[in-house]
Amino acid sequence: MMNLSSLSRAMIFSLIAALAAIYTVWLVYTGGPDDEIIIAAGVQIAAMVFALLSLLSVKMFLRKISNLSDAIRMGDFEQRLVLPRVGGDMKKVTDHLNAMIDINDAFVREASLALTAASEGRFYRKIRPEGMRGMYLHSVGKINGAIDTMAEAERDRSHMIEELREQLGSTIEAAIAGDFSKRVEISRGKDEFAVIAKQVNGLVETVDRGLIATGRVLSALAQTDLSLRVEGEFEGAFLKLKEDTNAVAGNLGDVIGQLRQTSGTLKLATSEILDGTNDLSRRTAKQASTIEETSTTMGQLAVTIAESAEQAEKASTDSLQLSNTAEQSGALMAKATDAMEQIATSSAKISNIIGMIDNIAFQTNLLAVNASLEAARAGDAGKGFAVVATEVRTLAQSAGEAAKEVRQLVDQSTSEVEQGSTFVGEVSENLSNMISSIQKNSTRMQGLATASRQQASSIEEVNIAVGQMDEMTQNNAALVEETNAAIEQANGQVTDLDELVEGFKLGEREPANDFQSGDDEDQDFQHVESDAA
Amino acid sequence: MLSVDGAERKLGQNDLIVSKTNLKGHITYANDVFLDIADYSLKQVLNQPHSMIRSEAMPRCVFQLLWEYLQDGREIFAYVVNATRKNDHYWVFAHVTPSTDANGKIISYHSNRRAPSEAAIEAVKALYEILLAEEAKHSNRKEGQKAGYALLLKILEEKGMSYDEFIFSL
Repeated sequence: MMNLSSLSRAMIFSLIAALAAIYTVWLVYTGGPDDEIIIAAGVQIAAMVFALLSLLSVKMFLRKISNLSDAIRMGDFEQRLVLPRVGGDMKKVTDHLNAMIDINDAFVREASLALTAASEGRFYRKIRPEGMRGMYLHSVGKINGAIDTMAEAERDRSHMIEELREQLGSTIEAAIAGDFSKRVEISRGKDEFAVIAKQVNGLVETVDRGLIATGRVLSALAQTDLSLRVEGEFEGAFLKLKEDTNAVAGNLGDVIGQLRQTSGTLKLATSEILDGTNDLSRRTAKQASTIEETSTTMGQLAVTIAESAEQAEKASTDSLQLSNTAEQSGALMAKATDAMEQIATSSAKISNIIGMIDNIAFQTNLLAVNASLEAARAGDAGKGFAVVATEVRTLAQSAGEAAKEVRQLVDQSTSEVEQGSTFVGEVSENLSNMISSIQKNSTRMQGLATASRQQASSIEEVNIAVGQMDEMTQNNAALVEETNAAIEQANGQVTDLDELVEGFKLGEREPANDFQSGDDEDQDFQHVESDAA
Repeated sequence: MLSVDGAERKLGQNDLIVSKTNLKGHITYANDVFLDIADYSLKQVLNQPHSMIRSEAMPRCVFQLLWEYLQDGREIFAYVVNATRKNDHYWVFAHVTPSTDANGKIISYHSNRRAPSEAAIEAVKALYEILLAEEAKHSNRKEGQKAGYALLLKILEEKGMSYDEFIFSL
């Protein structure tokens, strides 16, 4: 039973059911025992149920086949009938269906992958024919044949390229390596090769001719011969190369010509400059020594002026003291004048008093005389009186005498006082003149001292300036030294340049127009010339 | 010479062994040729790892290469010796390809196996012997596989061939 299919089982169970039915009918007809009839009927029913179940299973199998067929029709080769419990004819159907899908799956996979590989140049990966039969094998043969054709076409292509490379290779490789002397042999090969070969030869020829013509001029240039030019007919890039090369040679010639002129001028200029700097060097050295002397002198001058300032200061101080003393003397003189005036005043008063005394003495004398005369007339009685009158007259006379002497003394004193006063006045005036002179003097002294101090500080500044000047002169001297060396070097280089420029061989043609046409360049050259001049 | 256990069984010249696995390498389909030669029933192989028919005579590094190709989405051809249920063996020329869906995503692996030529088997036996010997030098299986893989690449490099070219040259 295990290896039978559901369909076989359905048939067997149907047969059993039929036999059971016949047996049951026979038992009923012959009047067999009831229990046997029941068993036969039971067997019949059971067999029919099993037959139905088996048919159900067959139905499901058919549905699976239907679904599978549909999937395959849709190109889904992943699907298979995977039925582990199916046996017999149904297993055979399953296996054959699967085998059919397998071979389709294999064919499609192989064809797809082999063609993919071929399109990538892997022609060795062709469809494996093993397991393929009939139309599959036939198709495999066709596809593999196509792949072989592709492979052959590829080989032909490679071969053609190889042949091309063989025929053109050495010429092109030589050209790549910079040798344009080789040509392609046109004797053998196919027509299209001959055309290509001629074209390659033409290409190499053009390059060769252009390079030789240009090379001749450039190598002459390298040898400082600027007289050669590229000759011949050229086109395109080589025409440009020709024009450019000729322009280079022409312009270079012009530049060298200009340079030659400039270098001559320059040589002259540098030697003049050298003379000038040598002179400058000498003068600078002299200047340095002069400045040094000046510096020393200035130092001494500074000391002297400082001393002078000190002296002036001192003199000024002394003048001030003197001025003070004179002023004090002046004050004393004034006091003396006052005293003299008081004396004069007192003398005048005394003189007045003496005048009064003198007058009194005169009046007394006069009275005494009158008294004596009266006493004389009175005689004796008047005798005593006469004596007194005489006495009084003597006294009056003495008083008058004394007054006279005093007056003389007073007058003398007054006149002396007046004289002294005049003296004092003169002295006082002289003193005040002197004070004013001293004060002026003192101011001048102070001015002198201040001036001296300013002078000293000016001298100091001058000294510093001279020091700086000294330093600068030293720097100048060093600079002049360096300049001298530089100019000597420049002079040497100019000589070298001159020799170098003289070494160029120039063509006998007019300066190139292109060179002159640039305004800026023209101006620059004028600048150079004016600078050199 | 490479020694393989049991008796050798031969695949018919027109026979095609077909099997499919899921992405884990578990068998989802095996055709009747597969089951006949390997002596299994379909029930016995379904959902089993494909390595169930692996022979000890196969270097592990070859399978490493195979899986690298497949995971890269590429087809691979390989001469493989497989073991039957009764530990006999049979040689096949396996062509393993990834199956993809409409978006190009790998959904399963497919293997077609055909009868190899005797000459190819002899050449492959010599190669596999060397690779097995290299793998056996290492007690650690992974180290051995790694060394075998390196040796395989080196041999191919010396031949100046890709693996595919080498296989198709046999």
